[in-house]
Amino acid sequence: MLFSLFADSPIPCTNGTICLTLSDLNAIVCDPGVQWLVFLCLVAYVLSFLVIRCQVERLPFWHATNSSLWLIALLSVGTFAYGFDYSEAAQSTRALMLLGGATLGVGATLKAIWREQGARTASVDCLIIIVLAAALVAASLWYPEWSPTFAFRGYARWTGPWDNPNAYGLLMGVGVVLAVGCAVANYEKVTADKSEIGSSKELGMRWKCVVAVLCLASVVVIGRGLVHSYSRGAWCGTIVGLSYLGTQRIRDHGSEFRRWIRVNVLSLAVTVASVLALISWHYRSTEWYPARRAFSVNSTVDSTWHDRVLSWDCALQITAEHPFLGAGWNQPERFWEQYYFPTGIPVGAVIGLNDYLLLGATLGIPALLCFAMYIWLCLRNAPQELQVANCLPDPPLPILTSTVPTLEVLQAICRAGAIVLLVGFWFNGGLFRLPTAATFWILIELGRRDLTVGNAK
Amino acid sequence: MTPSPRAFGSFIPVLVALLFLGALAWAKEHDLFVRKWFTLTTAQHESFRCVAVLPKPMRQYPVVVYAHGSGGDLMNDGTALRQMTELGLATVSLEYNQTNTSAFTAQFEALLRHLDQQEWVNKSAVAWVGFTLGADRILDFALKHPERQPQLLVWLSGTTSSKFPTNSPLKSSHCSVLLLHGEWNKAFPSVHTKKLASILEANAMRLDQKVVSGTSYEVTSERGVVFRCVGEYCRSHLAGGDAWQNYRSSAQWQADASPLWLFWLPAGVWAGGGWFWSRRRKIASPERIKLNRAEIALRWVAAVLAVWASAETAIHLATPHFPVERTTLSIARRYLVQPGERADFQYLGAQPIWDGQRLKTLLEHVELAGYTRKVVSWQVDDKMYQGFVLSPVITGNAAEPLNWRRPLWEEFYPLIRQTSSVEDAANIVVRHLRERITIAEDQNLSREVPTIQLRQITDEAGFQVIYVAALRSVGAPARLDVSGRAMLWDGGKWEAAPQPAIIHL
Repeated sequence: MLFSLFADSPIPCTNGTICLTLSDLNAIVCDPGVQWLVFLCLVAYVLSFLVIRCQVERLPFWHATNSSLWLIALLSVGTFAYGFDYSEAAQSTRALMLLGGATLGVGATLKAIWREQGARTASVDCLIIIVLAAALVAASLWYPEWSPTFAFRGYARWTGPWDNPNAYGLLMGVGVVLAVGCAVANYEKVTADKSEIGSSKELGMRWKCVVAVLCLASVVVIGRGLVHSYSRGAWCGTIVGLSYLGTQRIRDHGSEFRRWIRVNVLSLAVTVASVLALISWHYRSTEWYPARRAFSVNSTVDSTWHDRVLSWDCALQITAEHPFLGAGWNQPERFWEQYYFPTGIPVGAVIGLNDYLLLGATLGIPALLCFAMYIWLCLRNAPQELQVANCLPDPPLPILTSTVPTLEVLQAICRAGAIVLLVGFWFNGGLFRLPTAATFWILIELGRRDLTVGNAK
Repeated sequence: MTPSPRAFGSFIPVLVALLFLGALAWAKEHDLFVRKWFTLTTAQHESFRCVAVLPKPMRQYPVVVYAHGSGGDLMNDGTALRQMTELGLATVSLEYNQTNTSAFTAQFEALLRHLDQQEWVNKSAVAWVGFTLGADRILDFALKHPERQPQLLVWLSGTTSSKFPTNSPLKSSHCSVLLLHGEWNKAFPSVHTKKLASILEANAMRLDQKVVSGTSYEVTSERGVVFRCVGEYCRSHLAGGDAWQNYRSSAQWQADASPLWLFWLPAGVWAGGGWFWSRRRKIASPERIKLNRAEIALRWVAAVLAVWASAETAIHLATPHFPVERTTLSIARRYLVQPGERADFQYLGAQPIWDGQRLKTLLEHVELAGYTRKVVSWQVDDKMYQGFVLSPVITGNAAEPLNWRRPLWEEFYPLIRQTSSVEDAANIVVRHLRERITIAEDQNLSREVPTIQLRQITDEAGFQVIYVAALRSVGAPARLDVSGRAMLWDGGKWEAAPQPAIIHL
């Protein structure tokens, strides 16, 4: 997992076994002569993982609500396109990254399911999240280097150990959401312990307090990196992710608080929207760079929106001309400039910024539909519906013991982290880059895990 | 009662699907071209790929068959094909064998046979355009197969003439030929082109010979301009005397296309229906919610903030659509103009040119000119800036339209933002402008900047007018001289602005 997170980072590497291995691996995946071998191995892995998981979970496979089915369909279309035009597909590692990320995600979840059969703890999930958050904290401390390529009004946008501030920003956004989620989870456990047992768990409570404080400190450190990435897509994704996390936690709170939110949600939304509108009109020419960057979406001299919309338009035109099977791996970028983008306008870096439209242009509308269904089913993985799918006669919702809420909270945190990336994929891309893709697949797979596995057994 | 999660669950996917399909239909509808990829097989059972780029709507068009140069492929032909297709020509390119002449002959024959069967091909208006190696191949083919010769053959930077025997007569030929050659072509000096021209003329071919000034063998820097001009030449030649009477530009096509919101109507209906349904279910609910004081206060705060934000938003969005008057100028000065731009706003607002103009036009000139001045690499003093960058007046005619800044800025500013001097910027501007605008000799063409931009055609005087506007939009001081030519301020004196490599062929 850690390898995948930093796999494409341009960190200067001195001689050594790890560096040699990394460069060898890089050479292998980039070499069209042998790339297909790696691809085949990944296909075998991901299929095995998915079959094993279906066996373990005992979920009906041929059912429209089975997200694994949609994932298999997506990967099958991708594999078919890869094999059909290998010479073009092997020109980049894009197909490999999609498959590799999915394999990592499914593999990580499988391990978590196996380890927890019967135990009903979330230890493996928790470990994965902690390792991920710790790696992101470390990445946020990376010394920023000035690069004229990524600057906002002469100020360097931080890229961390990666080569792109948008990828850095997205991963920092994920880090913020994970850290906030862990802090909230620990705080809730502390309050729950207080009300349940009193002083008998004092040591454990103190430990949880320390963890909560550490998580909050991590939020500050990673948040600093997020702000300095100047990535508006990452900022937007983080806000959406935190909002999702907030709504999930509110849902689990007492009925009085939920009632208050439900009654006042419109007033709160109007207040927030009005305040944002007023701030953006009054402070659009502020000299505070983060605010200026945020309000630049409202600026009439910011041409990035114009470029983005042009590139989305081109991607849609390619999809409309190749609706069923797409243009094939690596073809949209080549078509784009020569056959679709307005002549004489510099294409620049806007190509490939929207992964959903790029996926549609590359593999066609059916593949995009499979991906959308997979995401939708993962995010709406409500326990009640899963129980229906499992054909349990009487849904005995588990009594809130000390462990089950933890699992549920962890799943909500993972889904919130995945949502940050899902929003980022629209504006910044990242589904075809290993660090963001691997993080996304692991989080979405951990987030979708069936709560009723233990019951079903 | 609230909608069940299951009902809500199907609402959002359907909404997203409708939005996506609407956007897809819109993108297809306003796409300028139809691209047809096809594979053909020669008599020797060798298959090769071709692409046809056709204008919309689908009907019969004059056809240009394009053969790319050495090392080229279909994936790199798109820009050249689209340059010519924008002019109302159907263009076709083929992935031909670059090492074997007889294989090319077979492939080209197969392509011509295929084109003979296509409904969109106007068989009496066909041109072949070849570039470097492709030029040699098509000329060779035309001379060996006079029965298949097109109406026009464009030979662009080829190298053939040294291979032609000067003493033996060629087979009879009836097509017109345009020989186009880069001025600084060291690989194949112009003396060879002249030799080729004399051979062709000796064989009774109608010949036209042109030199592209300031370009090399592969006309790299001016390729866009060259293909635009070749397209114009083909259209003039194939469509006859009234070639430009019915010309519909790509900008016009896109301006006439249906807006996106029309394609999102089904999604809007779905969303509205969902909202109506949820409201009805809520109203049917007997549950009455009693609000406490804090909740009532929150609603009041939300209402006050909403009114305030709406008023501010209305001032910012609605005021610019009103005409320039004392009141609107005063509102704009107070709310819409940034502190750093007030002096420019004051100066421009005081000019007697705004009668009947919308405030938006004035604000755009102030904002975009001010922004560009801050970010470009060259310095312009205030007097020069106000008179020849900020000012929207170019010709001084009373009816001159002033709303040209934003479209030109959006088109040209991204091209020049990395340049370090006014001269470099002017070279980029004139090249790009010529790639987009046809210069014709018709007397009835508009010389107003917005109309030229929309119709993408004007005469030489009109071109100079839009050129000055484009230069001003990128922050370069420019004006017309007494003869109507564009002049550029280089920091010390007025100089003639660089002119396009080709005015017309």
